Amino acid sequence: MSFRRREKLISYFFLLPSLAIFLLLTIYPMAETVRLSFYRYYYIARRVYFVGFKNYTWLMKNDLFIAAIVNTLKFDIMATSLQFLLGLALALIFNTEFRLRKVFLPLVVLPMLIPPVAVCSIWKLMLDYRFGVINDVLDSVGLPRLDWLGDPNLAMLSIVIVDTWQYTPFVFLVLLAGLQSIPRELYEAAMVDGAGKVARFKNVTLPLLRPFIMVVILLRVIDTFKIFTKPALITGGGPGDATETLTLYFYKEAFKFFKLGIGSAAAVIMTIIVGVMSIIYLLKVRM
Amino acid sequence: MSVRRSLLEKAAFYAILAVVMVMVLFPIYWMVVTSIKTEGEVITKVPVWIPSVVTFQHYKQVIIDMDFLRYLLNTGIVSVLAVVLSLVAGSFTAYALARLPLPAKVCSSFLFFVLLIRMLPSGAFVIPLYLILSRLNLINTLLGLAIAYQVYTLPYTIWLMLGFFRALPPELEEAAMVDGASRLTILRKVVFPMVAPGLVSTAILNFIMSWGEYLYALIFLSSPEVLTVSVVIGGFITEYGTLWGELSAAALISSLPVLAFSFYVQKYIIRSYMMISK
Amino acid sequence: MNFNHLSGRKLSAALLLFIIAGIFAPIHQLAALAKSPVTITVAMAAGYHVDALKAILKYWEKEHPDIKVRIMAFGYHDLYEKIVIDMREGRGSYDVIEIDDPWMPEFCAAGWLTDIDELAKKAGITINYSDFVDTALWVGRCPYKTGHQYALPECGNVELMAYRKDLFKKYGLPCPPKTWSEVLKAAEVISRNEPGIYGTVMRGLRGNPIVSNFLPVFWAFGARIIDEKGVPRVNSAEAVEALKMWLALAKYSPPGMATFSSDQVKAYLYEGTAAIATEVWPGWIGKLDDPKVSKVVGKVDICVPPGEKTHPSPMIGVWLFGIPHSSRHKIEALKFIVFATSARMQKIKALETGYPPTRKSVYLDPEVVKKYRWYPVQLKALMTSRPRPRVPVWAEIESVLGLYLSKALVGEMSPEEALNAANAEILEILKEAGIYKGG
Repeated sequence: MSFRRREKLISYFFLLPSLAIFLLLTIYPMAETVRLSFYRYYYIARRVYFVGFKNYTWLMKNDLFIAAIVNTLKFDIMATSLQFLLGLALALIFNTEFRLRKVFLPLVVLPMLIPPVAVCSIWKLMLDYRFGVINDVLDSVGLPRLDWLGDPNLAMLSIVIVDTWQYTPFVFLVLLAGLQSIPRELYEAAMVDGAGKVARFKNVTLPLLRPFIMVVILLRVIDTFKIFTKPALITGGGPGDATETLTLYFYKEAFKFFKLGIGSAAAVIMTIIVGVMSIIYLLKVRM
Repeated sequence: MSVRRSLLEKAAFYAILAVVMVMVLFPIYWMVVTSIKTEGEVITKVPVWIPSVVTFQHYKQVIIDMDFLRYLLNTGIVSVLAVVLSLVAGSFTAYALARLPLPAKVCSSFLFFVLLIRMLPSGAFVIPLYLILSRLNLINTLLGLAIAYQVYTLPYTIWLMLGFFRALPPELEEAAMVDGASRLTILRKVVFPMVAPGLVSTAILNFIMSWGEYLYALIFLSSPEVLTVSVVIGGFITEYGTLWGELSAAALISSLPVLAFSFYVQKYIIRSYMMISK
Repeated sequence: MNFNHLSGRKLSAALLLFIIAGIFAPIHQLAALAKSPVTITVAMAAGYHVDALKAILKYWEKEHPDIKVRIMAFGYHDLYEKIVIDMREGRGSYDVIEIDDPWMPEFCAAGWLTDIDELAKKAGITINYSDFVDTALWVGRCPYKTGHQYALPECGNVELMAYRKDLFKKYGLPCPPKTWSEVLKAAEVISRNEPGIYGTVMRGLRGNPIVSNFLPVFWAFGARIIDEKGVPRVNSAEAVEALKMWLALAKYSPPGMATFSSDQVKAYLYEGTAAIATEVWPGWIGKLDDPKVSKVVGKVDICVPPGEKTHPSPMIGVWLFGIPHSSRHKIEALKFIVFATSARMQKIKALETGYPPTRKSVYLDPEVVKKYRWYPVQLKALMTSRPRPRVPVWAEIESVLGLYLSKALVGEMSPEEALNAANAEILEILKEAGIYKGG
């Protein structure tokens, strides 16, 4: 059994150094964040004092923070659903053979590769009511111009559109891989059995694609929850508080006012919300 | 009948494809066009689709006056460093996790912890990371930034690679062991070649993330020699107006290396995801 | 999936190179710095601040070849973040920092800046303050107006108003308008008679833009943010009147105004599709007479934002050069900022890039006035300008005010509701900061 023991030791040898660095980089900051959430910490003035749960109660009574929670949840659901549907559609399209496929594939991935800062700026330009090209197009086909960024009802939709444009390629890639892993024979067998296109999709594609769908939805739910750059650069959280998101709120408290206590509490609340969502999701999926 | 139906299908297919490609590529077209427009044509009452005067001054400004190639190089160095660090540390961790006889509960809680890290807004790590890097004297270094990126890239690597290692039947390694090969040789000759697609795909995604990251690059770098591309692009947005031409030019230039990279390895991205099982 | 052996090796070699570069880059940096003469690092706001500084760098290099200057430019908010963290952690990465005047109270209270008067005495440098505009000097003092000088004003930013003189004359409107009511009337008349031209164009983006746009109107009605006892007065009767006037003006602005920042205001003004820009900054108007970008050459005039119930209060927004306490090259830094704010250099900056001066002599210099016909008006505005409340928590107050102004703008709240809500939150902020002294 000393072979077994040696094997275990070697495994630990592999595990420990990387784990140590990793934990240092992650556990310490996370613990700090939780710890600070129980204090008022004015970074600039160097004032720190313990307040227990006061930060949390203050936040939950703060209108802007509540609006941020609601907005972030709304955004998350809208964006994830849209990105999933479009990503799936794209994956289905690219799962077939057609000319120029090799050329189009990297192009479809292109939006993901452009630095997010630049993506936000160009979309802000395109969505402008007066000078934006999108309204120009609407104009030319006789549709009314829309106040994409200034109308509280449309502003959130605009952010969803930009995020979808940038990250659908990610969903697309994962689902395409999933589709390509389904052996052709299964489709052929189904066709021999007389199954039509829809039936084939329902009974062959979807079940086998499930693990990929589950992964990609989980990742997008977590990632879109943290949406920050887009509302920050395109709408500033406005108009009013229509596009105020949780990370935007956190960022303001932590890096504009340098009130690290409140900022940390906001970050903790954020994490709890998305953590609970993920646990529920994972438990359901395991069923 | 069936021929006509398939022609109709084909037409519909290509029509949808065309619409999709337009929606995907139009903003990029707009960026390209903006980068060659003169200042007067960027914001006009009627948007200019095709500039009347084409100028390359923005490119000149960015590449020559602003020494942009250096920033490209910096970003490349940081991204490569971050990817290598995460691949080495992450895949070893994932491998040990996959092979170690750990109780399932420990394994899944560790995985959930890793996911938890992803849930926190990245800003929450800034001040503690700043203090750590400061003590190690790694502020304002590319290596320090690459280490900071491990907060993003390591969890992701561990997660993905764990799936790949789990999918690998242990019998292969046991067979090699029976043949008398050492653990190291097994790793080198048997295990890693088999999970190479996973490594590549993880590498690409981590690379893309490091390339476009903004907040940590902003906070942890303070001198011109080490700046990365995203920070420089952010500097084009000022209180007095945005420098659209330079911004678009810089953004396009900085997307090129990553685009070339993905052109080159597109096969692996696809094939690698095949092996993820939840 | 076969890695071609040759390409695999090339890849590994390239990777190795990158890694080595990444690890050794800092060492190379240090080596480079050790060899060269003293280098000072300047952290400043991106945009024309940098252009202006670059215009005078060649003169600096000639006069001080032994002191090299490196410029780090950041967006407004990024700059704030970077210098705060750097100074708080005492890292000394920057020898000169550009400071927006609302940040001064905070930095003063934290003791992060070097006393310039004392440093100058130690270094044997005399600074002649008489030519500087007083209001600009005052914001650089800790405490405001009465203390020692801790920063030198270098960008004479002050709020102005731009309007279409040709249209005003056409409809017989008072030119320049002396009250906001006159401005409102002008907006109404022009928009009614000129299709395609909006009466006003204003910044409505939540945060600093909307607050900066609102404050001149607010102050013109006699309202104030905080009184002497630290009590917020944002919901006073005068304030509500002011907000109503501001909202009335906003009605004549183009759609989407709720997200307008400097980009949009400039666009409408330069395109000629807006008659009055109620709030403009010197950095926006430099090219009004440049036919390459402006469609309204010679048609736009600049004036001081008007008063209403009381005198006009253009908002001051100067930028100053300060020396962080943690800098390791304080004397060289001092030499640099004295140089950069000297009359000679400010004139060059103004002529070459339109950078607003902070010295009276430069504003009245005939060569400069010839190029920027509104400079005498700008000087007057600067001399009668009013600063934002000198409290360290201004950023929070501005954020709260910005949020509720934005809500009032889109009609989510009535003016009274918005200002009451804002006042309540500002009261909390002031209490927390220990500024509220009851009343």
